[in-house]
Amino acid sequence: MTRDDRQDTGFDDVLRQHAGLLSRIAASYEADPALRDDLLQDMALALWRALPNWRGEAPLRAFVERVAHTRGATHVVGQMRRPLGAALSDDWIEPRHGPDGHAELEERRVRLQDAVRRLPLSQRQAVTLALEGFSHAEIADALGITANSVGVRLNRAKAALKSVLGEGA
Amino acid sequence: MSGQGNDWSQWGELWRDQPAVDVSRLARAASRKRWRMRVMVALELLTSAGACVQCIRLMSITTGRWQVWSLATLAFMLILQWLYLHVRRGTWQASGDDVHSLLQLTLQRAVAGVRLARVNLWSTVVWVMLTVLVSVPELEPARWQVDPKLKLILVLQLAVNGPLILAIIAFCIWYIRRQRARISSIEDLLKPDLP
Repeated sequence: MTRDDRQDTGFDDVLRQHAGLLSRIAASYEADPALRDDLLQDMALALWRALPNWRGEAPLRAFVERVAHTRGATHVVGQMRRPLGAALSDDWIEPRHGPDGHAELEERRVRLQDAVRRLPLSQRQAVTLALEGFSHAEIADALGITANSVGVRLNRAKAALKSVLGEGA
Repeated sequence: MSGQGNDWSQWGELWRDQPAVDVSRLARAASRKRWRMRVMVALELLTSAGACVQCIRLMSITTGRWQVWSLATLAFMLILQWLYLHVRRGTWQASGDDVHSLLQLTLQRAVAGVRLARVNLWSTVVWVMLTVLVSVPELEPARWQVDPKLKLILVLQLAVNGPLILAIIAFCIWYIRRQRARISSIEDLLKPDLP
């Protein structure tokens, strides 16, 4: 087995474990279904290229998140001045709920994704990490900032999210 | 649990409950992109190597003004290759850096890219002028009208290099405009970001 083959095999395992995470991060950067598909593929490609650099000094999940956000930010720069909102595509996804429950859940999720996409980049990254269940300390570590700054970013983001989601502050 | 904690945990549940991705399809798509990328790089390297060999061969079999022209063409091609590598560098980056640093880096590259494209644009114009100057004796109608071989070479040069030069100039102008828009966009992104 060549080095490339070993790298591809390891990558397939990592991709299988983190595809959901990548998909959610892609959704936080791109609303258009076709472009989001493309961004998700680009994130997978960026991960394949970055994976040999991972030395285990940070958790793999945090590393994957960071690579995906980096690619997402590049995508934002590349897709300048496009509208943020669009319908969610079912192309990549497999329904897990009944038609009614799925539709309602989908609507709430689309609103949350849309709200996250409207956040400034640094807040967006902190928010997606928080939504993925990372602690403040882990977020601080992943972003290279203090836990206090994480708190500030999340508080600001929370107010913005509530405003977009139409919930009382 | 605090109200604040409740908000994040409710949003987190909704966020993480997103439907599963078709991993096999994603893996296949990523694999296709990897191979396409490798093939494109191989083709580009082969083309560049072929063109360089051709220039070096011309330098060895010609003398005087055509030897100088071959050398200038070789230099021009290397500059062009440098620009293409620079353009692609952002998409090739295997980065674990944070987003803010990446944006700063992208901004620097965009500024450098505009400078590079200007150099490329003007070097193309200079190269065309140099080629025309070097070819003045061959362009005399009295020469190519009586020499079918020379006439064929001139027609081929015009047919092949003409559109190529126009394409390079159009690309440089498009690239400069795109990079300017990119610079403005990155500056917007960097402005309100930090607490």
